[in-house]
Amino acid sequence: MNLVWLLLIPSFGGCLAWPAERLHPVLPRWISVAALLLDVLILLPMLHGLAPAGILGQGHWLAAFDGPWIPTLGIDFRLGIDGLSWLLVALTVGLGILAVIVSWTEIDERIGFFHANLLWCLAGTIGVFIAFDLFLFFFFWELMLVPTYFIVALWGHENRMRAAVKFFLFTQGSGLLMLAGILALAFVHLQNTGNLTFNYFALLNTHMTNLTELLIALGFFMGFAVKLPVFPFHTWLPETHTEAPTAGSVVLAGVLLKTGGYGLLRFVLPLFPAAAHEMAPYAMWLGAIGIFYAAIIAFAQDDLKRLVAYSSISHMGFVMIGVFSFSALALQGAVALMIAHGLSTGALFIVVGLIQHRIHSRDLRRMGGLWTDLPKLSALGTLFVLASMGLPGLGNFVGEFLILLGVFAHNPNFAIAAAVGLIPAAIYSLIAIQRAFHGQAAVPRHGHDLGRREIGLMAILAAGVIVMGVYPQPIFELAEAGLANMQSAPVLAMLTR
Amino acid sequence: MTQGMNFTAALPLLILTAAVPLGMLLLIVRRSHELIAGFTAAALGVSLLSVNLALGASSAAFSSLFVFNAYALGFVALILAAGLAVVVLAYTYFQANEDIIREEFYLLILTGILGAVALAAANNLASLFLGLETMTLSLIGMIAYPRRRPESVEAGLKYLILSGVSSAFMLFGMALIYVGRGTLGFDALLAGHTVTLDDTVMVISGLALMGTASGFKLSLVPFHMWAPDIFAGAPAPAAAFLAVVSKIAVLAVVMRAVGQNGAILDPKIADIIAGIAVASMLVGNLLALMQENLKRLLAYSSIAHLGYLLVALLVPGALGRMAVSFYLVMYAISVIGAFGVISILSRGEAARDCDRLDDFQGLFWSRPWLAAIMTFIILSLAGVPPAIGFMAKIYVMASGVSADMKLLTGVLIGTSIIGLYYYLRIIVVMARRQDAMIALSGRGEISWLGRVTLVSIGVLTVVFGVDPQPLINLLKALT
Repeated sequence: MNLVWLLLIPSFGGCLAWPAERLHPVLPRWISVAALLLDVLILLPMLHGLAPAGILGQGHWLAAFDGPWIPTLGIDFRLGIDGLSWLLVALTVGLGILAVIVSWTEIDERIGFFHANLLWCLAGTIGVFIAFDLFLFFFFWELMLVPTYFIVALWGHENRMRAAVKFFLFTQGSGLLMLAGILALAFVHLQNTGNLTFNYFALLNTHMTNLTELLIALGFFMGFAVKLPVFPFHTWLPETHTEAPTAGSVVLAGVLLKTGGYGLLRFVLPLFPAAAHEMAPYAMWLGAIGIFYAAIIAFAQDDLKRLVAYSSISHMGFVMIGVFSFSALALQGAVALMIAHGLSTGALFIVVGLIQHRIHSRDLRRMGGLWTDLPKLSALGTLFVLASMGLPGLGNFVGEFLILLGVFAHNPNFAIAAAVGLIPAAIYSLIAIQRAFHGQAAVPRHGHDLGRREIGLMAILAAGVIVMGVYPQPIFELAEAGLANMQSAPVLAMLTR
Repeated sequence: MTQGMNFTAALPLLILTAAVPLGMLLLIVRRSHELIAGFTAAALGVSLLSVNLALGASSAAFSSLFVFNAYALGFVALILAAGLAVVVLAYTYFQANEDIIREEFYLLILTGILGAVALAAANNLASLFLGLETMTLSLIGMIAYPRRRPESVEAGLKYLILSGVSSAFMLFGMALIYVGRGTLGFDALLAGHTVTLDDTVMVISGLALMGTASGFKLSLVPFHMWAPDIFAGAPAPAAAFLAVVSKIAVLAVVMRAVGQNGAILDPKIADIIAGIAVASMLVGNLLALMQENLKRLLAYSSIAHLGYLLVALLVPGALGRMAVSFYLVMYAISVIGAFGVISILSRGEAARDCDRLDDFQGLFWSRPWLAAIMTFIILSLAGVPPAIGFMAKIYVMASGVSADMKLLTGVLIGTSIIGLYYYLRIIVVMARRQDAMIALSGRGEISWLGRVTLVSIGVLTVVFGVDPQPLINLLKALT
């Protein structure tokens, strides 16, 4: 039942926040914070009660829920949470709270509706991470789109409409391909067993011909690859991120992209082991191309927000390589990188938002010399750029290193290619630091440095990035329990191959 | 052929038949807008309630002309509910409009619904034609009702001529089939098999002619040309009637002809229907992209939706039947809702309806609740959760996948993505901030009746979208 509350609290919080604006403009913000804090209260105790194995099927589950939804079509309201899901849900809720705080001053119109959308989007994302009925999963997958669309379209910057429509068309379009895959999988299972079901555990080990498996797996892959995003399906991301309000960018980069990586891990690998194996070289190529391509494009950007967006694509290339290397180490690395990327890139988007709030521009050509005017902001900004670059001792490094290590054991060529990709990353990161924070001020300005609320916000993220870099063990332990759950027999066999 | 006359089963039809002359008498005694609207709503309501009684009747036949089995009664109930919504919409539409004669509009709704109910329950080609003509003739009057609007009169005239031609096709087709088979009764015509092409030239030509006429009424490609003009010219409540009630009634007959008996469709005919479905999905969605007028856009969207429906229609068995029924309910709720929003913002006395996309600019800021309802309706038409359209599209896709119809399912997915673009545009326009005060035809106060109707439509789209099981159970009992 806990899991249902996890979804219901933000959903109802959203319904409350919308009209609450009429009473007082601050009320929606507090309602959102309260709803998300309640979610934290649900999440934390789960860690203590590592439930006995075998609730849902096999493995270590922290909590589970099972209820009927549309029995006629074999669709259940089946939720479960393991270590992997827990990490991602915690990231969602945590970044959600930060997104509310960061929009405290940025969003000043239609406050109620904004927070309603934010909460619904988070609820949809949480649902994606804990749904274990394929149809329910898809329902949540689609559900998180509409609020995100509104956040970008209503509160975004200059070209918000174009960006929002592009985002929606890309993700919804690829989602429909995934839906076709889900339905096909269910009907193949129906033909095999005479039992129509969308139950994740029942559909594992569905027997099908190679071609069918490949086609269905491709449908799933498209849905997740667009969301991650993987080159060449990434074109929606820079635009959407650039135009979204800061809170929208934080949620998009920090959480929504992770649904793509999560989907690959949770669905493509275990459901279609053979097809995943067949696709792996191509997928890894796409990942490697993405690392380089996005890094080079990022280097050429003058818009700081666009630069961060392209760096995101580059990092997600690592996740892609890690996932499709089938190495236990690299899978761990992919999870760690997803979490670290959520923290560091979320923080970077906040930094850009704070800079924009002060100098009314995101253009690197109009920055320069920020350090003298805004020392605290610049110092924190530098920290997060370094983290995103993969500096040892900070979160991203752990993930990238593990991925490279794991991939190297299986496929040295890709590991070398990806490792070389770290060089352009260092170049664009350092240049960005130089252009934004050092040198002469391009235009005269007078800003005030970070306030107490902003310092607090950044301190949390900085602490997260540093702790992850220094002591990532708890994350590995949690993720390992989750990864073990998914590695049903076929995948395990492949891992040891 | 002598069959029983079960009056209980035919109660919905009989109540409506009695209501028409009573309504006329009422207008002679007292001409009051409120009174006749209330009377019409009551007649439709009582008829709707009597469906329950009719379901329990011992036999479904009402002479050899009509059959009121659970299947037909399901359609009848849907038609009556849609009719009730149209009455409410018409009431708010004409409410402030005291200088024109508006009372007859309700009589036209009543006769139109009477025709639609007869059509849905027809068990004989003669009663089919009777119902179709009753409905069509009433529709012509409804479309051309605002006589001071040249567009409406033009639309009425167009519909008169085109539907006249299509009725001629229908009638000639029936005549040819009668020559070939020597019977008009559905039971004999469909006995043992559904429509097939292995037949005499007479029957095949008859089928082709009747198919053309049905295609016209359902505005399927290539018989769709009339739809945008007439939707745009018709007053919003009439357009809702045209888009929902008339199509449901015709579809009830078509569904019966192509596989209600569980028989398998002739593959050649299935191919033809598949071709029409592909063309409708493509043309409807592509042409909708360029529309600036919401009613025209809905006309094209309706063409596309009928295309989706045909996909499910081709799937044999229970899944296909359920998909069609579920999709029809979704279509009725969403389209009535969309036209409802238009008609609630419009006024009958204005020079035009509030139907341009620009009219909706900034609706999110000026009327947030109405915009929210419209958003859910549009999402439903686009097939996005949590609206009911999502579940309906899933049903259709699932039936397509289960029958292994790769091409049709592929086109369905592809055109749905295209469709998203124009549906989203409506939401985008509503969300755009209003730069200047735009003089809307009717930004007046919205009556509570209209509010209640639209809010309940909005609630229905979400409730059935999140929890479709009750609706599925209901439909299962009926089909």
